[in-house]
Amino acid sequence: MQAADQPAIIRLFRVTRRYGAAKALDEISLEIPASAFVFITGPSGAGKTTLLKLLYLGLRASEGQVIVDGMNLARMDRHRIPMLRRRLGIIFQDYKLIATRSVYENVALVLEAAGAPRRAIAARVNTVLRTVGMEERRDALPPSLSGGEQQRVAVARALVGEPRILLADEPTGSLDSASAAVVMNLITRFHQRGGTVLVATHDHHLIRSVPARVIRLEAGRLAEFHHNPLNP
Amino acid sequence: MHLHLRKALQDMRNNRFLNAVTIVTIALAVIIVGAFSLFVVNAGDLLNTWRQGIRLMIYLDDGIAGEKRAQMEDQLRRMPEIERLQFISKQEAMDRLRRQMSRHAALLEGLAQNPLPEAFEVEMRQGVERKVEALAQRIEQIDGVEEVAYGKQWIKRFGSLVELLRIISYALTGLFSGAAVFFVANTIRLILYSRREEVEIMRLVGASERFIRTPFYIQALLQGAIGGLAGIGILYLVYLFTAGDMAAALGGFGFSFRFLPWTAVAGAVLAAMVVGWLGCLASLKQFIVSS
Repeated sequence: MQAADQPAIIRLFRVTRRYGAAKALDEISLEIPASAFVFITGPSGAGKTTLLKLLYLGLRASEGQVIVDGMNLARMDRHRIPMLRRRLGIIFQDYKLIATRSVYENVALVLEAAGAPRRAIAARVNTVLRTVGMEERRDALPPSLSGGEQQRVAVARALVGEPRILLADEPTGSLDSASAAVVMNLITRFHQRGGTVLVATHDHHLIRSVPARVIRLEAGRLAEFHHNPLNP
Repeated sequence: MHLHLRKALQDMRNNRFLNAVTIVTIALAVIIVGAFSLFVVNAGDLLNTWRQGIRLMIYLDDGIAGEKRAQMEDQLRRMPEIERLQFISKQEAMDRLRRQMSRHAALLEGLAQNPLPEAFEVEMRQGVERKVEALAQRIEQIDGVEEVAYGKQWIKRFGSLVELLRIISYALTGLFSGAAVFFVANTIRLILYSRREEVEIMRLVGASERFIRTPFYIQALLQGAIGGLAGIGILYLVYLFTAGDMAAALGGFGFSFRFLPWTAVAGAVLAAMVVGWLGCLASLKQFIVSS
């Protein structure tokens, strides 16, 4: 089934986000079907990161409705935010790994926080580390890894909870082209298994490398919503 | 819980210095408050021992006839506070003095006549020791009594001192508990700030506030328990080394020095844990609000 036939898994209706008087996002409305691969692009300050933050409640919308996987985020109590985040995998440009914990512990944290049993955690974490090719470095601390390796660990952490949606904010922004290709390959494989992917980037090479929908933001407004020519 | 305990122990290993400072602070607070309590408990015991051993000496006017003395004795025996009464003649008083001054008995040889008065020695019933002063005053009214002697000023002053020390020990307990809460709160706050980023990452991957906080509470309770036990342990060692000397010094009063009762020891450790928990609560509240 094509993504376009799927019901929307993410819905934004007239969403505005203000920082003081300035509007980072201005009346954005859009729908993203389940299993879609979407790039959010635009120049720096266009609101890409703000848009992603609204989806995992790193920020709340000043106005409008945000619905993610059936959950209305405008009304969501702060105690329920962890439930939302456990359904999402999030990848950051700066990896956001805990420097004092091993590769294994960083990835296992997601399942521990969700209350999974210890044995199930070990099995699942080892599988995911094998998938991203970091099994050998499971006991290493993040600062001893290269940028590409750290981002692979971050991808493993994002995937270990088997989320329905993967949010990535400039996932290859700090990587060389070879490492970037490995990371994008892992994200693409998640999408091929039916996952929904949103990648915020201003890297046109990256956008052209994957068949996807492209949302273009300019000064907080939706400037363009089109299918990448590569998208079948 | 196993996971949280593991994380708490890991945190304590990673922040050895800050944890050690907190534990030492709690231990010091326990030692100071405990030492004071130990002193108050034993001073109270000592006071009771003295009160129980109080003997009134009723010295009689010179040359009282046997009949008058028998009347007085009868009157005294009717007083409910008096347990036992013994007449001490002049000769007996002299014999006692000789025994007490055995090494210097020669001093008494030169006396032309016995200067000691006749007396009644009174032992009070248990439980009425506090009424010794009133009793003495009543006896002094009896005709033929020259003087009633007991260590009144001494006992009264010592009693007031013990009472004062007891009040001070309560104040110190409050003061040092407050200071310890403050220290624990600051340590946890420092640890939290050093791990701000980590806490933020934990939140981003779906960790609940309870999941984030529980290891901190366990850490604080452990700090309290270790600090409390260490403080009591050190106090006990000091007690072991000094109790013998103290008991020897006070042995003449038929008094034995004792350590704090086990309920007080358990209470101190529990209080130290509560102090740790309160410190953690204070800093986490502030941290969660500010983050």
